[in-house]
Amino acid sequence: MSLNYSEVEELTLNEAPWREATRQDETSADAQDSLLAAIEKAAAGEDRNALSRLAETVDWRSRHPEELNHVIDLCLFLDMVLLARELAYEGRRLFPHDKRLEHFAIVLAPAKIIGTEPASDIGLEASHRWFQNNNASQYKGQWIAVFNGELVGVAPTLKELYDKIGRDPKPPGTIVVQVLS
Amino acid sequence: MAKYDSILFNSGFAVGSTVYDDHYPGDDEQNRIVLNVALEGQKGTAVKMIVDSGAPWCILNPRLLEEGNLVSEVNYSHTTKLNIRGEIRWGHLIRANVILKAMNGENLKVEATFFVPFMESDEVWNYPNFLGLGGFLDRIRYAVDASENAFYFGRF
Repeated sequence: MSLNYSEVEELTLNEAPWREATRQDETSADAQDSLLAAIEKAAAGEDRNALSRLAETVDWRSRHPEELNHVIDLCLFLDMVLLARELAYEGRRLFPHDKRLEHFAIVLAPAKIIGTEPASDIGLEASHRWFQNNNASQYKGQWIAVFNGELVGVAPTLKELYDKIGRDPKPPGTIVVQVLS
Repeated sequence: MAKYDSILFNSGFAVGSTVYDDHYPGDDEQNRIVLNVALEGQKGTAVKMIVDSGAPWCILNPRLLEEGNLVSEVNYSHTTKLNIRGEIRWGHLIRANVILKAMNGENLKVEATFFVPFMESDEVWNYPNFLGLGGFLDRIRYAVDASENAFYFGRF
């Protein structure tokens, strides 16, 4: 995506690190380099608005996929999930052979409803009451298993808990949780 | 049966409802909305997860990934670092199938993205599991009736 100067001006904040970069011809490699440097600065300063506007200004067709990957990483670190997703989709379109961008596009996709199924859990309400009526805090730091309203296992690790209660599939309704310490 | 099951089920808003816990086990101080969520590949068990619409991510206890087989049919995980409540953590972003467990109506199965932090073998992860806005809550319908701890959920 590229902007004309008037659009860039609208985006400009006084003293914003990317002001100078966007004043140049943004189709030039130098200007694009400056935009990437400005993105780094914006990320370092946690300036999400600037980062977002800059990322949308970069002409990603002229950049390396590693640079786009890096900017997606910056977005994720700043919890900018939507922008990261947008860039990942753009990256997958522009660089279809880049595995990392492809993977980003997959893991950053919105949640997908698979379907519904009849609730068949055994004793879920009873187990809910167990957590209400028993002080789970007495097991701080432990992993516990509750089934049909009864405590069926306690262990210091999840592995040991499964050793105790068995590694075969459990009846639906078995709740396993690590009690916070 | 929750008070508004009929209305919300018949209107198509929700497919299931459940009663939520007020506290995550071991944390009696903070009021939460805690649901039972099954993780596909986790031996049929469900775990406790906090509904946190302020969290950008869903976060899973890393031990669940180690002991289970959570990665979905998409079968992909991605390494990145996130800022988890002020703490920088490296970890996997994974796609996994999870099932919101209903006490009334139907369960809802969702393919979602979770952040699973890397841990040292002797490190203890002392945080709850979270259902965050990004990658989960922003793709389902839900409603809360605090008068009876009812959580309604559905698809759109």
